Parts: sequence; C-alpha cells; structure tokens
Amino acid sequence: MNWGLAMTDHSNSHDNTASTEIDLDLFFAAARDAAPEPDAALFAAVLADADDVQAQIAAGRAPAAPLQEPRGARGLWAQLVAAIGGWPAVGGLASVATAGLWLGAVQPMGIGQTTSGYLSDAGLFVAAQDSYLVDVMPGLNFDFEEG
Amino acid sequence: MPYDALSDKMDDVPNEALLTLFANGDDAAARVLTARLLPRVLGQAVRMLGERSEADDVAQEALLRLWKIAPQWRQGEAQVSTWLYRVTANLCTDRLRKRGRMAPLEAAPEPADETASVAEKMQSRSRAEALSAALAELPERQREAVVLRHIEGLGNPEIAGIMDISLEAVESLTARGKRALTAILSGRRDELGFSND
Repeated sequence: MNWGLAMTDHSNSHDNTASTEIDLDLFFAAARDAAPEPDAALFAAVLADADDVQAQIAAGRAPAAPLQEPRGARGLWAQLVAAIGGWPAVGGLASVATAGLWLGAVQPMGIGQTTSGYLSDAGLFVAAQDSYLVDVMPGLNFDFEEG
Repeated sequence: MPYDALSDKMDDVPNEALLTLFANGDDAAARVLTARLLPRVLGQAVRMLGERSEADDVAQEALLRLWKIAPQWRQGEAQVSTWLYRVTANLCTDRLRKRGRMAPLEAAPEPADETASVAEKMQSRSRAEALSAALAELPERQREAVVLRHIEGLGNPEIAGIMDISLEAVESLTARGKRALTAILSGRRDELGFSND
C-alpha cells in the first residue's frame, strides 16, 4: 500500500541509496476527505439553542421592557414630562405659555372693555370687584405696623 | 419554507449579515449559518480533540456562543468564521487541559467520497488515521497551527488572528509541526507495516 511515501533519489549522496520521504500533503488531503459530518441530532440541538437565544433576544427588545426600569433611574424632569403626556404635550404647553405671556405683556386693545362689559352685563363685575375688596386677614396690617 | 429554497435564497449572503438577520428574529438565518458553519467547527474540534462525542459538545457550545453574541456583533470588525475558529480552538484547549493528556488515538471517520474504490478508501482512511494519531503527539499550539493551515486551509494572517500571534510565529509553528509530523509518520511506517507501493 502506498502510504504517502515519495521515492527520492539522492544522487548527491555518497552512499548513492534512495531514501523515502513522507508526502504530508497526501495525509492532509486524506484528513480533509475524512471530515466528520454533523449528525441530525447535533443539528437539532444547535438549532434549538438558536431558537432559545432568539426568544431571549426578542424578549429583551419587547416594549414592556422599559416598565421594568427602576424608578430611581429616571430623573425628575423625565418623570414630569411623562406625567403630562410626553414631549408633544410639553410643546403644546410651551405654546400656550408663550401666548399667555404675550397677552399679559401687551394686552391688546378691547380685551379689558370686553371682559368688563360681559361681567357688567351678567351682574358679576361689581361682585367680582367687591370680592377683591374683602379683607380676608384684617389683623395683618396691625401686625406689620406693630412689628 | 424548505431548507433548499432558503439556502438558494441566502447563498450569497455573508455570514456577518446572516448573523444580523438572526439577531433581528430571522430563524432561517440560523439554519443557513448552522449548515455553513457547523461542519467546519465540528471538523476542527474532532482534529484537535481526536474524539467525536466531546467534539460534538464543543461544536454545540461554540455555536451557542455565536448566537449569544449576535446582538452585539459589530459589522466589519471581525469575520464570523475567524471568530468561531478562535472560540472552538479555545474550547478544545480547555478540554485538553482538563483531560491532562493528549488526544486519544481514535479511528478517523469513514472517507466521505462514495465513488472512490475500496482500495482508495482504505488507503485514504489509513492516512487519515495515521495523521490523527501523529497530530495528537504534537504540542498543542503546533497542532492547532498545522490543522488550521493544512487541513482547514486558512491563510497565515487569519491563523495569526485566530491564535493571537504574529505571522512569524505562525510560520514557525507550522514548520516545526510539519517536521515533527514527518518524523513521527516516518518512524511509524515500519511499525504499522506499510510499504512503499
């Protein structure tokens, strides 16, 4: 049987004999041909692992995951934003606040007359004015004066 | 979808892209990756360990680590095959160290080529068995370098990456490994009763 031995003629050698050398490439080729094939059980086990890991990955990305976040991990500002309905609500709130500031600063003509008109017609203006004149802490001035 | 159809569809998709698909929930990607990579991993493990059942365990563990790292895999940083060779080599090394001895001399599996003649099959099997036994006598790092270079057919730069050594070190290990294999096989030629023809 040829086991992978190559005849090598060493013509320069003094004893003029042929020696043999191993042809390793034949052995490597034989090893490649004899490559083991995974059996069905191994394939199934590997794919079962893949399914398990894929399920874990999917669970890690589920929308419910943020609910498991510790409360302390969120800042006060983030909690406030979440409480009023998120960033869209913050945007709306900012617009309303700006408009209110503008109206308070310039008070367009007619607004005061219109509101007082409505209040007078309803008989509420005087009552409303009167309500501001009610001294709910009559002793306060005395306390300030007396020190 | 039948596997063949999937295989055709994903034939040209690189391993790295398949791994990303897997992490995004595509179970077909797992099947294609397994079909591509499991035989290689198993072959490497069998050659390093010289024992089939342990090699099966190592192959399964190596693939499990690949699935687990999929969500963190960064495209372009490493090749999946290189990473897997490295993981497999490390797992085999751990097992060999736990054994505290070299790989046992187990008969190599039957040659896969069904068309070869009986004599050719016997010859090929005989060589594979002899090489397996000779590899088991090499120091661990020499065996790993020789297997990766001459049986798995990897290039020296890739082997250097897998073994985390320089190119010169790879060349040195493979050269010394081949010299040692030649000496072992030559020495056993008479012992095993092989002739030149």
